[in-house]
Amino acid sequence: MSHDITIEDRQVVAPMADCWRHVGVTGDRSCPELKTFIHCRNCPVLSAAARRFFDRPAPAGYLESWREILEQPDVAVDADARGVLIFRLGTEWLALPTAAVVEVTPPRQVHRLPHRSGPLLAGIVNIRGQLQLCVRLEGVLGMDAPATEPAAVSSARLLVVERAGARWVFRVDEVAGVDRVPGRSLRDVPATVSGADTRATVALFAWQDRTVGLLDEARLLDGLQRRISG
Amino acid sequence: MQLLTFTIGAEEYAIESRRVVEVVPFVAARPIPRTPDFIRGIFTHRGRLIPLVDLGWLLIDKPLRETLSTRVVVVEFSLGPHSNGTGDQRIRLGVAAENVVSLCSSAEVETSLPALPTPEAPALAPDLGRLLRIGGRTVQVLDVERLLPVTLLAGLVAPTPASTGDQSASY
Repeated sequence: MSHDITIEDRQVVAPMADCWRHVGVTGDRSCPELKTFIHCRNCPVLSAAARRFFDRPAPAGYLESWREILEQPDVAVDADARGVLIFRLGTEWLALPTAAVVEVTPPRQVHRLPHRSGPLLAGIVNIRGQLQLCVRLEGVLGMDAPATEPAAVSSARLLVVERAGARWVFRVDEVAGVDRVPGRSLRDVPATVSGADTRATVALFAWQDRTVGLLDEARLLDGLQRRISG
Repeated sequence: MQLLTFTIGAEEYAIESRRVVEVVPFVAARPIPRTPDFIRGIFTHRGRLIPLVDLGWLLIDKPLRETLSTRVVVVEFSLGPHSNGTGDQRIRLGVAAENVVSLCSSAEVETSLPALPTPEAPALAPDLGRLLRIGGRTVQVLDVERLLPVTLLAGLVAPTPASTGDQSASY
């Protein structure tokens, strides 16, 4: 059987104590062995130092604090929790399931389509070399259009979402981030909500003292093709 | 297959990493009167009470050196289905050993000895697991199912009374 020589078989002499702090990756990186090991953590000198570090009695209070940590029961993972991407559109805070979101990109030029662009369709936009339809989400949801379209708002983003193989691009005013929402914190949408089209909003949840509407990507996107071409 | 290696005395041993739930510091356990020396006691692990086995006492009759690298390997294994048919009897054990600091891959095994040559005299030397030659070291891979006498394990998985439904009562 052939025996490949692994890098750990090599003997390395440490040039000085704490060499990884002086000539290694946290120092000036002048150690010639870095050519072989790439990083100090692959070097036998650091491994030997780590073994020496662990070969000593535990500091006072260490095991006692660990005993308390281990006594805590496992925190059950909320199976109902769902990951959502939270964003702002005008004055409304909305969220989409992260599974539906492909990409968040800085805004770029949206090319209007003559005779096609309207309240729903903003135009087409180039996403990684592919032309995608850019849809006005406020038009789809029946919300008021922003009074003035700000030319360069640094917080504006384009959301690329996918549904059944079709990709759509929405312009939003701000993306707050991704969060996990426990299933029990989702509330039903009140039947009396007026203004925005509530058919695509399936639930409301509180997030950082705001109320966010959770959109359902199926209700939002199914039929969008038909509405745009019709 | 990955192996979690450690030492007892001067010799190197290993446990298959798929048996390992967690590696935790060597915390104090509550002693149980009149149990063998190699049972350090019972400790609380993530809300469950599990026995702590001292491999130093179990294998070579010596206590472990208590250093930072002396750690408890929490292992889980199955004893097969319950006799009353209520599903798998899963056992968790804490196994304390020295120098629990590294993994090695069994892809580097050069040669192995599947069983110790005393199958007809298990009382003389219980077969704890096969011996492997890995990268110039000889390592015995401990079968966690066979670490403790069967009678001792049977006591740990006594069927829970049907009235208590919470899972913490399974030990």
